[in-house]
Amino acid sequence: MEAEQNCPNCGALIGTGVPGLPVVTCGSCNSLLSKAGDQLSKVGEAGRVPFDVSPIQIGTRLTVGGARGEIVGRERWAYDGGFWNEWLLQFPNGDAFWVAEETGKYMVMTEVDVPIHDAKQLRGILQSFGTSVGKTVQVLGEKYTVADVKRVRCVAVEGSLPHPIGADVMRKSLDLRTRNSEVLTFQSDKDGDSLWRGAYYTLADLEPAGLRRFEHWSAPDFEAAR
Amino acid sequence: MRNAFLIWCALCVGLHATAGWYGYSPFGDGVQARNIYSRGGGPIHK
Amino acid sequence: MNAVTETVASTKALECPSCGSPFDLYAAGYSTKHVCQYCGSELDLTNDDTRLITEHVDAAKKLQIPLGTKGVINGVEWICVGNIEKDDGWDKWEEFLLFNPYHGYRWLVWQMNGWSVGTPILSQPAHPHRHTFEYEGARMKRIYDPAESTIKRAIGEFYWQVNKGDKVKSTSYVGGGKVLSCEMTGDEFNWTLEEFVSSKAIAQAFGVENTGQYPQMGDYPQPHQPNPYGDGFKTSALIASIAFVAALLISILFSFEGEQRVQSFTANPASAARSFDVGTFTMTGRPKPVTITARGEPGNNNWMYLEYTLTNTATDEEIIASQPIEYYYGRDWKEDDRRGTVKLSSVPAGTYKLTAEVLLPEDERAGAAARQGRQSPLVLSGTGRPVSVEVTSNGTFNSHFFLLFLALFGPVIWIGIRAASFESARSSGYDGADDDD
Repeated sequence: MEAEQNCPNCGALIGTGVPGLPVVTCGSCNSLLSKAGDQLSKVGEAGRVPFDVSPIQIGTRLTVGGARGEIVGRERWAYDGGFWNEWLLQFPNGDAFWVAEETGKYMVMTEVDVPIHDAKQLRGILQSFGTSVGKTVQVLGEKYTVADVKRVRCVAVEGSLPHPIGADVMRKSLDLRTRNSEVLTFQSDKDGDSLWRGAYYTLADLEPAGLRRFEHWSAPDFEAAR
Repeated sequence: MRNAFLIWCALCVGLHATAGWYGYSPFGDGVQARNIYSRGGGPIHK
Repeated sequence: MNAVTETVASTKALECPSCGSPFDLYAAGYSTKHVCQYCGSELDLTNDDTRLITEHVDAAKKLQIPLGTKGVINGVEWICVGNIEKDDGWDKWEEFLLFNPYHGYRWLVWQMNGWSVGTPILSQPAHPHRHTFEYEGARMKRIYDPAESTIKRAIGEFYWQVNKGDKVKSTSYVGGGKVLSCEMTGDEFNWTLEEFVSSKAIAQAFGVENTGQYPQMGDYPQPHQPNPYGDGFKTSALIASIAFVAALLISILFSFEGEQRVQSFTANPASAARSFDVGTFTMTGRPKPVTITARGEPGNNNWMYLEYTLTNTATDEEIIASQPIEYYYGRDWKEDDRRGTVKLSSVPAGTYKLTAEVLLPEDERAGAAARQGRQSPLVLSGTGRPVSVEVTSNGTFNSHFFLLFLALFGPVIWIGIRAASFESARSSGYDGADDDD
């Protein structure tokens, strides 16, 4: 366990952080802080996450593929027509998933390697924007339809994170889907490209524990004890 | 509704059993009174 | 890192920038658009600084389930956050958007004939151009072909940028008591699993007036509305069958004991001998039926007639019964009644003697002649007419079974007809109802 530290910007106490995640946010001044050895330094603005009624919070435990992990951080993204949360689910062995939460649905995303040829093609589609929607592409040897191409903006981040992505970071995002609702998301930003494979779950499927509590709402009966 | 039908069925079977026990029939199957067969016979066929 | 267990507010208080009406945002962070229920002005929620999209001065609409009303459906509590009215040119219906932070969204669909709760499903059950497909063990059949409907009204908060006048293309399937609907936007298909909810359940859940459902409301039942007679038909048919079999067994049980006597006799037109004794037998215990079966040969296209007298040898009380024996035929028809059975009701205990008297056509003609004072036609010769009579001191009445069958299965058939007419009313609401089956 690492020792608790103070925010180099405002002096507020920062939590112990999560091993293996170099970025933390300061809940007090919303600074984006990067750890280098024992040293914390401000690398940007985390922004303030707007009020929402997401049932997930930092500390919530979820099960994916039989393994139980804990939510340690979140990014909130917005686009022209809406917004969503991406929760970082960290497992004890250091593995991590992003859980994208939109309209009460949960998509667990795992990063997959992009073959160079596919990456080139996907980057081309990203450049073309809306004109490619509905087109069929071959990625990782499978047929996908281009469902959505959009510019997204990071609204705010909180908790412990793997990359120094803070408020107002822009990204291009491309959603591909098969007829059977298999989803691939290709993202491109200043730090490079990444390809994610997503699978839909309900919150109950994820056997959550430590969910957020709301006034006037009782906790769901599917909430686990541990 | 279901119970009402159950009761009705039980009643019917009970009545049937009672009639069966005493060998009772309000008509007596095929019974005809004396001398009613006086039409001189003949087929029903037309 | 510790789990935070403090309770936070679940709503965000806002104000319509157009008419100033205050409202609560129930799905903060999910809703991207709000339409004021009082003035219809539209508010964009995608940014922190909420922005007025269009200003309206519509009259407030009184909703069947007012926005902000909570209700429990299938054990989960929901809050009504939005309302949409759709029109496909034939029908108009309303869709209420329900929200629960832990369960996400549901659609409550209200048509004239009743209610339905829709759960968005995460997978693609099939391509919506198909007419049938398998879904979770049920065969789904298309009931509404893809058709466009128009959003006539949208008020409350929504997770997408809904607009009045938006067109939505959708198709529906039914199978296994459930409906699958698919909304098609270009190449994207959004499926919803719809389950029937009674109007009474909705009224109780949300504390609103019961809107009624088919058959009180609407012309036909919903595709997934349970047939109110369906279960009744199956149950009543089963009960009636069990009862009938039970009655049959009881009857068999009751008809074991009994004595039997058989006697044959030949009636000759030329002879005067017409009577014969079938036999004497004793009956004990409870009253029982007496079954008398006769078999005779009246000749071709001829008849004979038997008259039975059952006499109690102790009291001389008589029971009379009769039995015609006939045999007629033509080139393409036959009436063969050379065998006949009569059953006497409730013959009490005692010793009985059965005698049978035979009447032949020749005897009748002779009798008629005698009454008219004519000489009886001379019967020169004639073939003997053999007859055999068997008496048994037990029996069961076939009429009982007939009556019992009517009494037991009459109601079953009635329920069956009601069930069938419910189903035919249901399918009359489907697309292509006339061209299949």
